[in-house]
Amino acid sequence: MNIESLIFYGVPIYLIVMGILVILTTKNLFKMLLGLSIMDSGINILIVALGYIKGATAPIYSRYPEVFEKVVDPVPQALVLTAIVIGIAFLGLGLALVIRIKEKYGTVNVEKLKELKW
Amino acid sequence: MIRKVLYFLILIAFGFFILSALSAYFPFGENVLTGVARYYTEKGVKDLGGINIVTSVVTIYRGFDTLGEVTVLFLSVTALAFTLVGLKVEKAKLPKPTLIMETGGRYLAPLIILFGAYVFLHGHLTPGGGFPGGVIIATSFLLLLVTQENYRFKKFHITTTEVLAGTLYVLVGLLGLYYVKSFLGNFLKTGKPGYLVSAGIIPIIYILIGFKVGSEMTSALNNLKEGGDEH
Amino acid sequence: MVNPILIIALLLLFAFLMPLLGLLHRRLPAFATLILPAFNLYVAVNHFLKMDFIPVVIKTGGFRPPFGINLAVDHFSLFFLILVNAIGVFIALSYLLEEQDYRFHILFLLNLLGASGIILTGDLFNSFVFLEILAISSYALAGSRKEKPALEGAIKYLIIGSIGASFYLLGVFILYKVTGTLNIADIALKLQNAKSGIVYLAGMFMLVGLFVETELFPLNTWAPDVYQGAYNRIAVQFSSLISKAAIYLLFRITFLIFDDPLFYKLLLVVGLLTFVVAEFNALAQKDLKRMLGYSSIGQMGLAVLAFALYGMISHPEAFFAATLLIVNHAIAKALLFANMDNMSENATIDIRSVNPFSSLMFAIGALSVMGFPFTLGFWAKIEILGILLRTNLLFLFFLIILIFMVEAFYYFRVITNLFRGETVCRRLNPLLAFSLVVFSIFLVYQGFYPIFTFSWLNRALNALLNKAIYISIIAGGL
Repeated sequence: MNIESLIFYGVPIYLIVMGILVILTTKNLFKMLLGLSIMDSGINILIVALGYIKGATAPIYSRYPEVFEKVVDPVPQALVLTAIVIGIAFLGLGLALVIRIKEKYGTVNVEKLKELKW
Repeated sequence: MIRKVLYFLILIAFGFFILSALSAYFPFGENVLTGVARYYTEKGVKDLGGINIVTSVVTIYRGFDTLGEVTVLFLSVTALAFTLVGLKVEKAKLPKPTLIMETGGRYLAPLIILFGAYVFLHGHLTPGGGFPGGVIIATSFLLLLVTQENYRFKKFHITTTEVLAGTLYVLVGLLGLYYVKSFLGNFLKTGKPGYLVSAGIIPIIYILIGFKVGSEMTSALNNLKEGGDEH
Repeated sequence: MVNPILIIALLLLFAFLMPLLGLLHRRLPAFATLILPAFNLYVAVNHFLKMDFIPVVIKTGGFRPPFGINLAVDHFSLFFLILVNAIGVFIALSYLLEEQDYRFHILFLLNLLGASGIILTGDLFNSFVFLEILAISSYALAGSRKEKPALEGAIKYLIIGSIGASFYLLGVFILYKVTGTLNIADIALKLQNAKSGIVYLAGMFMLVGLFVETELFPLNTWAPDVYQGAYNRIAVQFSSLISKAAIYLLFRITFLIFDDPLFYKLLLVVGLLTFVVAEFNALAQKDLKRMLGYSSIGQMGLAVLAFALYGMISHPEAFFAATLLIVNHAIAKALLFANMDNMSENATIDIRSVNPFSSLMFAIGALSVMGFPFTLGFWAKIEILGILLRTNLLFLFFLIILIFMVEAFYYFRVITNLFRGETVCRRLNPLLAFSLVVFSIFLVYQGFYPIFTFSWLNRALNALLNKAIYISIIAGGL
């Protein structure tokens, strides 16, 4: 495991881990959504990092028709584009639900949401 | 407290495990383009005429995914409006905008819209494309919402834009089905790479996505500010 | 024959047009919502009966797989497509003709789109996108009844679901890195021989995502809350549509890509745990809907258990049992949950005043779920027990018989209460009553004479098991 892998994979993985930790330990629903957002960012960064090629540039052939520069893998970038949008979608709906919960329960504290027993 | 420390330790161990697995199998930066990626980077410009390979991948090669993604966004905004219908909301208490904010916002907003349009029009030539372009446009409307007192949207206009853009996207796909026997297939000439008018249906798709995303995010922001209503 | 891509294209078109339709005429959205699943059903049945036993590849974007995304249509996918859209028609007919809010119709159609997309797709990342469409629309539907229990269930579901979805994405991406492609058949081809450790890790990640949607232990804590809190029609959707599309994906991916004894063992353990825990929980419930919810979870666990037995015996009967159980459960649970509309609000298991028609419907549904003779469920349960006997897994055999008895106990408890209660005649929604009758007749008729279901099921399973043909036809090759 070289130092570069450590940094470029370690940081997004740390984000993912922290995001999950926030979701597991906080009692505030809104903060859980924030943790979700952090986790999403971590995963997206990790995917892009996994697609990198040393010494290669973005897959845009601005000097067409000289085509054969080394370029990075375009597929992870396309996947991440979609994943980011899907992440926003989750957050939007999550926020709407939390707003409703605040209206009904008066609080966003998870401990108070024990209407349904196991 | 003990529980939090325990979770932290387990998660750190888990993260470390994944880190070592990934760096062992996929050392950073040491890749060779294989598989489909190789085809996309080598033949992408010849096939479709767009010099931004990521755009070509997103709109045509994996265009079906992008259609799904647009649907997800539409779904989320609709679900947001649906969940917030009839909410008894105290109007968001934004501070009254100052003169500087109001004037600055009024001048800045059209420029931001212009920039957003530039981003999605040039999706096949420069980084960006429909999604960032649409979000930039939504930002300008957010600016207007925040800095202009009593700024209201005509919901009908936003909804119509949304509906039109989405329907046209599906129709473009169906046209592809009709002309080249493949849903969302490219049926226009690919033109000369590097020019604005090139790359077949790619700019068209990105324009439609730009409009759709812009109007959707604006409507979502509006809903969050004012609470939902019947239509 | 109609191109199956139209199933997806038309669902999208109408979903996008829905706001406009809502403005044109109040009844128009409901009409569209009824027509579309019916159309899909027609297309699916047509293909099922007329298609050859070769999977059909439908490309998109103009490029053949693996460079473009493709739909993979074979009898196994068509079978599930028929099931899912039949439930869609059931829900639309019984409930949605009354619904005025056009947004609800959008959510319903997009849910159906997600389910149909998962079933039709042949590309792994595409399955992620459609899985998300399914998931997000389910979160919204779960919270559609804006009361406390439903909202609680919905937000729990959303949080667990998004974590699962993120892991699924990571798993898909790791598979891409290993094989260089995103096409399911191509990945299956490349991973056929040796599977390195990282593939197992990717598989685990993907299973995390799938376990949430298929309500398996331990990621199913959201499900009882949603089943209890949501509207009845939403409970029908969850038990008979959403979880069934997700379990299709689980089966397909496991069989094609992760065809490995370790995976099957893991699924066996998870399925068994889900089944045992859920059924005992069901026993302890007082609220009727929550009890039915736990029963649904248990059945999903049992189906996965049956499916995983394939890993031990390599005999297609395991798949047969699992899929038959799924069909039976989808129809019977739809019957049970939809019937709750005829019962009082917050019904408990000590239900007293009942309507004779709804008691009968409940009884038929319950008998089919527990596998009473002369219902469709009987054949499914017998099949599972038969496999266990034949492979000498006697501990499992006796354990599962015990749980079947537990199931029978808590269902009969309610049935006897129903038939002892004072009869009250309530006004019933005629369309709902009609749909209930159709489903109950199907369950009993197939219980006596299951040839029809069996032959269709066999056709579907032959397609699934023919892995070599699937891979060679679809993986166009680099």
